[in-house]
Amino acid sequence: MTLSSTASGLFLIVRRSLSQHRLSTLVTVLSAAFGCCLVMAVFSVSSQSRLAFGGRPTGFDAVLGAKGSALQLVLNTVFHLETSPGNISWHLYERMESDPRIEAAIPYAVGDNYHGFRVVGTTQEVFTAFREGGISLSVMDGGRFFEGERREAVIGSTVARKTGLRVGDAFLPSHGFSEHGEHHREEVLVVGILESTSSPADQVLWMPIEGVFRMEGHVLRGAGETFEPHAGVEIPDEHKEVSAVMLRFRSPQAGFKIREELAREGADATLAWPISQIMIELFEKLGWVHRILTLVAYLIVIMASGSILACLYNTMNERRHEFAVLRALGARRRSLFSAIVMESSLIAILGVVLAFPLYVGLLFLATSLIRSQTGVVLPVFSFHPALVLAPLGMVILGAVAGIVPAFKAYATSVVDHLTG
Amino acid sequence: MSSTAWSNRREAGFGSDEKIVILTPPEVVSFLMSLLKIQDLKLSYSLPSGEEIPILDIPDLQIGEGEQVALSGESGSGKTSLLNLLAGIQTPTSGAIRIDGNDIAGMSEPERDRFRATHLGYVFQSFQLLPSYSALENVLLGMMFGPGPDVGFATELLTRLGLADRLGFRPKQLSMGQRQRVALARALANRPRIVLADEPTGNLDPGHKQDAIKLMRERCEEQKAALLLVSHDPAVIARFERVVKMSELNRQQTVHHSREV
Repeated sequence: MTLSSTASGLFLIVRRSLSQHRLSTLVTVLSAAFGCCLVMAVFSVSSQSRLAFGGRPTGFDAVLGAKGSALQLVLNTVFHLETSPGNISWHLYERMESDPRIEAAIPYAVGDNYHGFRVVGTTQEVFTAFREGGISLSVMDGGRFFEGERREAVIGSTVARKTGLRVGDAFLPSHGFSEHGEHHREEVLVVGILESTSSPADQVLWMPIEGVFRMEGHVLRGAGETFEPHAGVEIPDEHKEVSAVMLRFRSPQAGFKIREELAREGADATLAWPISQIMIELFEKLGWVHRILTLVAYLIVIMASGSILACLYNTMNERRHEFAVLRALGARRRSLFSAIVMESSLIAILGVVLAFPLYVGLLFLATSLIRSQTGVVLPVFSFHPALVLAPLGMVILGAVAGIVPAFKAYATSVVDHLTG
Repeated sequence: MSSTAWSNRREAGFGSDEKIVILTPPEVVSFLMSLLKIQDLKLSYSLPSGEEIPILDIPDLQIGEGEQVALSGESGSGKTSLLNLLAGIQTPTSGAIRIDGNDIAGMSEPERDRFRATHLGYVFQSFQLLPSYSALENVLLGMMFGPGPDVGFATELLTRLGLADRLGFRPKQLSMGQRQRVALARALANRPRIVLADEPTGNLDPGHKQDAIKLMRERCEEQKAALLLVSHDPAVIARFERVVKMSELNRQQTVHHSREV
C-alpha cells in the first residue's frame, strides 16, 4: 500500500491546488517556460553561430586584400557584408595563382549590386573551388555557368527567390553596395541559378570578372592612373585590379610562409588568415552580447523560480486548514512537505514542456533573421547540451523554490487549526 | 477503581420495553477485551513564565472492543484535549494510552500519524471537510494516507449513508446533515478500531441530531469499531448505555476557559 497510495494522495492534492490557483499556476508556468526557453536559445544560437560563422564556410583558408582590417576583408568576401576596403593589383592575384603552395586562388571584384544583392566578378574556377559543407557550387537544371568575358551571370538561390530573376532574364546592376546606387546601362543575362548552399553565397550574383571590368562607368586604377576599358580592346594586365583573392593552401605552413613573404616585401596588401580564426576573434569581440543575453536569461530563470516560491508561499496561509485536516487524517509532516515540493516541481515541469515549442518558435525567428541578414542558415534543430541542462536546471530550481513553502506546510500544527 | 467502569452496562433489547442490564466488574472488562486503556494520564501546559497549568489528570479509563461510550462535560473541561491525546495529535505530559495494544504515548510523531491513519476515525465538530474536494475525494484522501484508496468501499460507505447521488458534490453544495455523514464516512473509511467524535451534532438541527447519532452508532457497530462520542448535549448522551462524565473522569477539576492550544 503506502508509498504508492500516499503518492496518489499527494498527487491529488497537488493537482487540486494547481487548478484552484489557476491564475498563479499559469503565470508561474509561463515564467518558467520563458526562462528555460531563453537559456536554451541563447546557448544554442550562440554555439550554432560560432559553428556556422567560425568554421571554414567557403572552403577557403585566407583572403588577400587591400591593406587594412582583416576582419573587414573576411566580412566583405565571405559574408558579403560591409564595403570593400579597397583593391589590390592584378599581378598579386597572378602571383598567388601561380604559387605552387596554393591550391586555389580566386579573384573577386566587387562594387555593384542588384536590388541590394552583391554582384561579384570572378573566374569560373569559383564554382569548383568554393565549398560549402564539402559541396561545391552547382547550377540547377536548365542553367549553366557563365562563360569568359560575356555579360552573363549565375545567381544565388536567394537572389532568384527574392528578385524573381530566372534563367534567360536580363538585369541592370546598380553601382555601389546599396540598391539606391546609379544603374548601369548594360544588361546582364542570367544563365544559371545555383543550388542553395545555405550560406552567404546564396545572396550573390556571380559574373565573369572581365565583365565587371568592362561594365560601363568602371575605371581601373591598377597602374596608378585611371584606365577606362573599351569594348573590343584587351585590358593590359597592369591596369587590372581585384577587390580580393580567395585562397586555399595546400598546407597550413603555406599560410605562414606567404604571410611572412608578403610582410617582408612590404606588399600593399593584407592576408586575412586563417579565416576561421578571424571569425572566432569576432565572436570574442561580440562576447559581451552573449554574456549579457546569458545574464538576462539566467535572471529570468531565477525570477521564475522566485515567482514559484512567492506564489506557493502565498497560498500556504489559506491551505493551513487543509494541511491540518490531512494531518489529522494521518498524513505525515514529510508527506505534506513532499506535496509542496512536488507542486513547485510540477509547475517547473509544465514550464519546461511549454519551453520547447517556444524555443522552436524563437529559434525560427532568430535564424530567419540571421539568414536574411547574412544568408547563413543555422541548423535550428541541431542538438545542444543546453537543451537538456536548461530544462533540468529549471526543474531543480522549481523543486528548490518549493522548499521554503514546504517547510511552512511541514510546520502546520494540527491542534492550532482544528479547534472548533 | 473509578466509578466510571462500574457504570459500564450492556443493554439488550428484545423488542419490548424490558431491558436486561448486565453489570460487569471493571477487572473483568479489562481482562476481557479492553481496546482503549488510559492510565495516570496527565496533561499540562507550560506558560512562557514557566508556570504549569494542569489540564487533565485521568487515573483510569477503559473502553472495550466495539463499545460505545458517551463522554459528557462542559466546554473547557478538557474533552477536546483528551480526544487529541487519544488521536495522537497531542502528547501527554505523562501517563500511558494504549489502543489495541499499542502505547501511542510512546510513539514517535510519524508512528502516531501512521497509527491514526490505520486505527482511528475522527469526526470533528465542524466536520472539517476539505472544501476543494468532492465528497468522494474527501473520503478517499483519508484512505490515501492509510491503507490506500478504495473507491469501491468509499462509494459504498457514502451510498449506505444516503449520499449515492452526492459523490461528486463539494462540501458547500451539501446540507449540514449531508456534510456530517461525509465526515462519518471519512472516519469509517480506514476500518478503524475506534471512532472519536467531538460534538458531531453540534452543527445540526435538533431534528436531525438523533438520526445522525443513530446512524453513527449503527455504522460503528457494523464495522465493529468502538465509539467515543464527546457531547454536552443531554439529548445526545441520553441514548448511550455508558456515559462517562468528564467531571468524574478528570481529577483536574479546574476549568480553564483559556486557550486550547
